[in-house]
Amino acid sequence: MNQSPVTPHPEASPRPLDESHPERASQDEERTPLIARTAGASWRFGAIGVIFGVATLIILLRLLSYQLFADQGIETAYAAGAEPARGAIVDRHGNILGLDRYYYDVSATPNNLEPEERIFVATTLSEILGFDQQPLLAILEDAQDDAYCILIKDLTFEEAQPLISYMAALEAENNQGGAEYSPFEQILVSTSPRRYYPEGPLTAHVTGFVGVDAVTGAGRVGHYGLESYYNAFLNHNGVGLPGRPNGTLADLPAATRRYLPSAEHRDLALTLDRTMQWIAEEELDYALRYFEAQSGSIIAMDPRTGEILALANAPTYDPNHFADAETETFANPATNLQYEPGSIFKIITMAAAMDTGVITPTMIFTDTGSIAVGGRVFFNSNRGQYGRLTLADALARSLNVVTVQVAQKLGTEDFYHYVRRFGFGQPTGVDLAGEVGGLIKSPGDPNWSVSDLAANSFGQGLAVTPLQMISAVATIANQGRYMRPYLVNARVAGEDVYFTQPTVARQAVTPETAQKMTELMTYAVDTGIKAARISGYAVAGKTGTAQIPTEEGYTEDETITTFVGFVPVDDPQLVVLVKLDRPNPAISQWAAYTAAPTFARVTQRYLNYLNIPPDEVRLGETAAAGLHELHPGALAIDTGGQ
Amino acid sequence: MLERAQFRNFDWPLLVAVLLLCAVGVGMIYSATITTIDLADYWIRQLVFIGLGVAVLVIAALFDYRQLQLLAPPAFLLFVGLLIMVLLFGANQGGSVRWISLGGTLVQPTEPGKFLLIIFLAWYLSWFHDEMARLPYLLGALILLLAPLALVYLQPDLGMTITFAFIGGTLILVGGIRLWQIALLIGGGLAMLPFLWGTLQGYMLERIQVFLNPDSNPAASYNVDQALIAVGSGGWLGQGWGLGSQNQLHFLRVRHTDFIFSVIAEELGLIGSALVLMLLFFVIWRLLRIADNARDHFGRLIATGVAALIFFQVLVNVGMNLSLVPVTGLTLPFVSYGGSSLVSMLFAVGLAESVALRHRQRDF
Repeated sequence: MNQSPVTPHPEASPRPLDESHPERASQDEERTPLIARTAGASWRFGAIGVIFGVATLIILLRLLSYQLFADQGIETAYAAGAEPARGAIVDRHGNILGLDRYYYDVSATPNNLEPEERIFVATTLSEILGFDQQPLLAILEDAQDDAYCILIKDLTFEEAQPLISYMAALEAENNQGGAEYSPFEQILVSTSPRRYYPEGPLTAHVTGFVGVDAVTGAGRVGHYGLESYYNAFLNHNGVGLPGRPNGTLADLPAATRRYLPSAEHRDLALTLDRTMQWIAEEELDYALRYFEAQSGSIIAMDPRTGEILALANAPTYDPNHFADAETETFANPATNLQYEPGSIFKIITMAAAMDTGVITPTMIFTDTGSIAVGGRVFFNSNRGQYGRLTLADALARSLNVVTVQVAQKLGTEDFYHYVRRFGFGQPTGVDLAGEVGGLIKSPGDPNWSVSDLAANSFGQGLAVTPLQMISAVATIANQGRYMRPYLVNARVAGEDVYFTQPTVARQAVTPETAQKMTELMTYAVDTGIKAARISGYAVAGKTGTAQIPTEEGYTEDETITTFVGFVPVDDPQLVVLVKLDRPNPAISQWAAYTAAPTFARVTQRYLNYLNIPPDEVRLGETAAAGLHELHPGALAIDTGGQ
Repeated sequence: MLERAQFRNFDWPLLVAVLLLCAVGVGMIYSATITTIDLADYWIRQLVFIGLGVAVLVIAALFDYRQLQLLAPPAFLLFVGLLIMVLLFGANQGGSVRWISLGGTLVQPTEPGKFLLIIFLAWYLSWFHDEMARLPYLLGALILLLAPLALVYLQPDLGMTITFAFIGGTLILVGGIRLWQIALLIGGGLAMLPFLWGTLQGYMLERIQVFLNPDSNPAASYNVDQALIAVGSGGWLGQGWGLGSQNQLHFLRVRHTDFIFSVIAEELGLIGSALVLMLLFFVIWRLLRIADNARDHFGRLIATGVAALIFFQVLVNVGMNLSLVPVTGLTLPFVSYGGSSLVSMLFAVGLAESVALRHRQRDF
């Protein structure tokens, strides 16, 4: 270090002798230069002032914004720190399907703990909660300089109960005064909400689940199903509610109100019926095992409103443990995945042709066993040839050749017009996240050719979702009115309730057409699909057996079998769709022997559960028998066909 | 010893402001700790520390600061030596080596190091005041500053490194750096930045990361979240002394030290917290005024260094309470609980008063 004296400051040499302070002049003290008496404030202090001033200003502005817009400050702080609680989800009878349950975290202020106190805390905690002492001590020692550390996470209330009691007792002693200091004053038990689905996998595809945000990794965000669709509503009070409430809590049935409103004041009351859901799940499970099918879906709907009563898929997952589940099971096959429906689609072709008046149920067609359209030859599914027969019989036997003839009579433009009117090629608008719209090629699309009309008429070369399929058939059950399907009957925001009004999307076909189609579908079950019959009830329905298109063409014996039907046919109250994927061909690959009997089992139980009396009880013997006949006016054979 | 009459040069407003801040501190410490049996007597202890600190302040004020020039070079050598010893033989606590064992007790050299740095740099910059226009002398100052800085950075202690850098920077700015030199340094600093980023320790990045994205580490952001809730619930007038829910219900951690500003904001509102800030900035203004009126460059730089030290701690502590800067252990000067920090702060004020007592006569 340079200890040699440097050139003295020019202003320092004439020492400013200060008469009043002679001691300042001492040689020893004046080692560094003095500052001139005349020196003004230096620009350097100006610079310091600016730097300090700007920093001060930032702090004051921040303080101002937090303190004066205090609500906002608290909101943001809560949003950043505490995880928001979500409202509850209940079924139509008030049974809880999803709610927040609180879990307990134990944390500490380790830097306030002396070494022996750390040992005391770890030992006591391990005694109370039954944890190993060593890991707890290790956490406290690692964090001994920190003001915060988490010791134990995710205790249930039952698990945390002994510790809560212990700390409450300490607190009580404290309040009485004179208590010894306990290191447990440095311990905090805090709660955080976690989503809990009491029914486990039962409604997984309906509710979805709650996890962290996929992008930011923060917070609690709904994934799939209702949790995702209604995420904003469930998370934030009132957000995502259009318009004004159209009802109050009192408008909800007493049973539905059992657990509502929850503390969060943002709950969903569903149209779903837990019992019907359970029946669907059980029968689906049974069918999968019996027919050795790979997967399947069952949907039940009220055709008069579009309310979804049950929606079950298999395989499914447990939303309580979604982290352990296969991610492929998260998507809801009823709305998020599409498939080629097969013969079931003939209902649409027939209804369209009937509505435009080009066919009647008793019109005679000639089945030649094959038909060539646009260079492609189409056969019946069993390669049979049936000759002259009525349209009703052709549908009952599900003849592809006759259906193609009907489509040709109908014409390309009208066919696709009706396909859209029945809701295909577009999402149904159901309140579930991630719904897909299906795939309909129509004239004008690059890959469309004339042969596509023929293939489409019996359900090949297009893709639909099971929910689209059941909604279209519900339209026929509901006098031709297409109802938008929905799952949430009411959003409950405390006292305010927002009811979902059943929505008629459009009159797809006339009530007369719907009536004729109902008769045709009843006739089809009565004459062709023995397994779908339910004792005491007329059933209207249709099978569909679709081969599975792959890149190499259709597979040989792997099929997707669907049955959709409704009851009672005179006053349809229930539409049920059963879809089974890849049943074991050694048992049966046909819908009539797989999906149809499953439909009968499910629907039988639903009829009992819903207390719908058999036709004869409701209508009397004669009228009930009449349900199984084609309309008398249509009985005269119409020779307009080929 | 000074004569009685000379105490008219003593900066009484500064002392009054400091004592007011100490009083506010005692009141808030009482509110923050009285419900915790273990800490219930802390406000009394703080009163004792204040008494002790004021004595230190008076002694420091009476002591002629110019004598410190003699001590500066050896003290600096001792300081750097201690830092090197820490690196070589220090006790490892929680992944960083900041303490050495001297005679059985752990000593953290960086605490007194703040004062040693101020005194040494003040000595160097005033000793070579007229040479500062020449680059080698500036670079000398920078190297002498960078030596302890690098050693502290290696401990690793990012908070203290930045504190040292801020104090050093302020002193060099006041001590005679030229504008062109500033431009040169900024350019050089920017060029160094990518290299420095690579050497940042994991925990430093984590701390910065937590600050930029609080949700990434809920454990670490807990305190700041609770502080923000406390500040946000203060409003104009606060919830009332002893009535702040964040404070009284113990949601706020280390509320009597690091987060006492949040207690003030919650219980005394914007009026209270702004008044405390104004008192703190009044103190800093008085210190800068002392610097401006100092008799010599050494005194000027010491007062400036003290002002910079206090300002930086206020800035970091309040900024941490408002989630403006990452969490560090720096306390709020004069207000936070803690014997050593309070006494050292009052000692710093005493140094400045010593400069004030020996101010220069001005011709106007």
